[in-house]
Amino acid sequence: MGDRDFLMTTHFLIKKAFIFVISLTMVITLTFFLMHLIPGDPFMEEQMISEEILKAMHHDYGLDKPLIMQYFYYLKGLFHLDLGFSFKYQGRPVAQIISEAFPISFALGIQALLIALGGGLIGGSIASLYHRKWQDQAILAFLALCLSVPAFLSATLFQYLFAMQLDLFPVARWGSFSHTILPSLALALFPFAYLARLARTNIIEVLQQDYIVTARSKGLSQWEILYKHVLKNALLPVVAYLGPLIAAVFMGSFVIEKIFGIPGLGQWLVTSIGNRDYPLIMGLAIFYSFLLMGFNFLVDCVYYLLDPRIKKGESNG
Amino acid sequence: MNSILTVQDLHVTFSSRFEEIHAVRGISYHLEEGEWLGIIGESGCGKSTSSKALLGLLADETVIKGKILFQDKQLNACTESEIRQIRSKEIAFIPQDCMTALNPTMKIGLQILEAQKKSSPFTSFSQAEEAARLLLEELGLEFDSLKDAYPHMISGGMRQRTLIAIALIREPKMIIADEPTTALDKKLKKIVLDGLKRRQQENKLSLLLISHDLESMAEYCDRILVMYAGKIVEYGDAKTIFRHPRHPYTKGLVNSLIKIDQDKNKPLNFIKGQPPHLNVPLNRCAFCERCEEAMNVCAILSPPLYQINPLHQSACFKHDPGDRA
Amino acid sequence: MGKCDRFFFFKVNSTLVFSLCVLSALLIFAIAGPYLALHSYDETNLAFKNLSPDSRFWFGTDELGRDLFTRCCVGARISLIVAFAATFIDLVLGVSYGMISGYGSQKMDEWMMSFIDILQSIPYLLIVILLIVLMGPGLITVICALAITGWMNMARIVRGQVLQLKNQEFVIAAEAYGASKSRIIIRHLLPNVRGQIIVVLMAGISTALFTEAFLSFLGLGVQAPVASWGTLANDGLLALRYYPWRIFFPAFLICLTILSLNLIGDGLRDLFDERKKI
Repeated sequence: MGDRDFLMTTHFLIKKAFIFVISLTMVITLTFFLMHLIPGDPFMEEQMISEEILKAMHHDYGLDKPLIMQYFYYLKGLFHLDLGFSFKYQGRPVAQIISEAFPISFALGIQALLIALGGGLIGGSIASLYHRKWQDQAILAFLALCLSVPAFLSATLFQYLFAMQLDLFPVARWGSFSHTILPSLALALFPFAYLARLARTNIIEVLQQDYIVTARSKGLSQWEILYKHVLKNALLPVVAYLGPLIAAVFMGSFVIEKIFGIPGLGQWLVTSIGNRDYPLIMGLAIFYSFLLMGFNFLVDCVYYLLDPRIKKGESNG
Repeated sequence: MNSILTVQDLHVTFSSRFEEIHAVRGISYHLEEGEWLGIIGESGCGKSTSSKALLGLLADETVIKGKILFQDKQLNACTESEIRQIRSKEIAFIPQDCMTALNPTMKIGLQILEAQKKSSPFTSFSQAEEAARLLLEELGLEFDSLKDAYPHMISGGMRQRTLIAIALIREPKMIIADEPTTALDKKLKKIVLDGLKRRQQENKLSLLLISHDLESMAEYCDRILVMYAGKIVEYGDAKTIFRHPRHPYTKGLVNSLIKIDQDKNKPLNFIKGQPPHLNVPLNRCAFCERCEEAMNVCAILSPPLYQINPLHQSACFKHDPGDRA
Repeated sequence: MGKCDRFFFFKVNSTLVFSLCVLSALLIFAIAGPYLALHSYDETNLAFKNLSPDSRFWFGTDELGRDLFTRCCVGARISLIVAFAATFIDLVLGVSYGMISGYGSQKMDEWMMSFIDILQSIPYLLIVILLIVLMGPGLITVICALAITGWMNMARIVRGQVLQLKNQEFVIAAEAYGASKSRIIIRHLLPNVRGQIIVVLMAGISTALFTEAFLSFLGLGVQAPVASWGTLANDGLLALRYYPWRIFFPAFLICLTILSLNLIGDGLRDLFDERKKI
């Protein structure tokens, strides 16, 4: 049994990794060719530049070569983690911009994710205890409200109330730990509510299953049942949701960074789109895609390892 | 002869937002120590519900009225930890649906061993494993191959026997078994029921067996209880009920059994109609619409249990002893 | 379930009724608001700039003296139009794709679903970025971005329902008496998928609304002089400390609309799926 399991797992992992690489390549290709199909010259937006300087700039950026060659140069560059140079901020490598801004966004994102995961799971578990009692409606109403508050409303509310009016936290920018609190809370609000509702629904559903009656008939206590039987089964769907969750956190971070003036990747993306800074846009878009698809790949692997039923599905074809 | 279990006037009501369902409408019976009581009835008559109610295994919104006495302890008035003690050591429950009664993401070995953790007469883990191995052998299963398997990997018959093992491993004083042999073929059924019989004779195990299988019940049970629409309609010694059923419903049940030498051209006997919905209180005999021997009084009053002889009771106006005019 | 049961449930489910009222109020606000208000939406008057809400300017004014109430009404129109338009496209595309995929042959279903799988493996964020860069920010771009990604969810759900339904008795009966495939789809399958479609539709509108506001807030959505709630919120951001109502009114309206849409969606889902009392 162990050998077959190992083989199936390896087969699964390789297949998923293969799909990941193919999708990523597709994304890179798509992005590259679309960017280069845009009419107009990126440098014309600036000022009136003479023909010669224009030609020189084109040459510098490799824009005078045929498109296919540019594509392969770009791919080669990707392997060396070289994403070209920004148009707007001349001479600055895109990779450098990303490596400076990413840790900030990452810190914000991780903090928000941890708050959302921890708060959501604990909150959902507690909420499930009040099923069919009056508090249930109140909890559901509160969660429904949190789910409807867009990130920019929660962020501005928090900023206005706690920073500007009550002066408990710094209003904007990034630096110390207290700078991170309001932004991550605002970013975590929606995922927290979604996870709490998901956890609650799943726990309640599992509690109504027959095998819980069997467990109770063995004399197990409420907590033992929750821990040994309910948690694993109820939380599988939560793991499945992690993929869309991180995409939501990314999108939310753009807004949060703007409101709190945090110099993260989101800010760069928005401004680069405004500036038509194509290498930067490309680099950021590809980087984000890589993060999202990579994370989804990891989640798929984790889910596969956790759910024994999937393995059976594979062996039955 | 002491009663290990006494049920007095048990009522179980499910209340939802829109209606109340009176699943069990006042049943009383007792189980002697070392006795095997069978409960028979069609789906929905309340047999599973009443048995789950004994151990408090129903959902929280059900209302249970009446007295349930297990060895002088009132089960429905116990605290949570008391009833858990009883579940783990004294009374074991074998659930009905083997497809859904096992946790799909937990290994079978663990689910079996978990059952004896609380009651454990075993001092070490390997002792417990040994006991599990022997028990499963008796049931025709191999512990070592099942230990790391998941429920969806084994057949229905194996799952059902796992559920039986989960009950037996803690060597309880009493077992409540809800249709424990539906997924088993004749040979396995005999093995399981013989095993239970042995324990009944050697260890004075008391058994409450719910089943549709009249023939097995007649062979193994000491007494039989027939339920219909939440009430007991006949109650008595197993062989008598099987050979000389008195209540019209029981007569119908017994007649519907297919005999080997039955004439193939005769139509199958079955009781026409459906049991009534239990969402309104019934002040009449619940069976009267389908009863071939119904009288006028049956539609107006609900018959109590009349004694036909000290070992045999029937809830039918036909057996009213005062009715000997 | 008989018809009288439905109404009974309706009365019992007060959140649903309440949310419908709120949504209707918002729709009236959007449609009739500018006609009821005292000022037009682009009437600038620097003498009245940055006033807090009072009897003349119910929501206050912005830095050019424009009445925020009227601007919010107009913004409502834009936001709601974008959301409804995008969702409508999703509806048409998704339902047809799902129907054909579900009811067609196994082979066709496999191809069609693989196509969706491949498309869905491309991150939504990337598609949005690419569209904005290609087409430039604006109303049409936003509608396209929303429409392109939303239909796939609808298609999946419809296909799932159709797969379940197509083996049921009434479909087989219809095929048996020679009904054409399109007739079966329209007369038999569609009515039974209606419930699910409506639920997904509600979710789709609320997502579309949210995404439009999100993009416009970042400056990547509708552009001046067209104003949606998102752009209004963006305009009000810098003035947060001193004139907070300028961002809070539009943001609050967005929140209220999404909330009522979500509650209606939840309520409808419970209505159509009475087994679940969770």
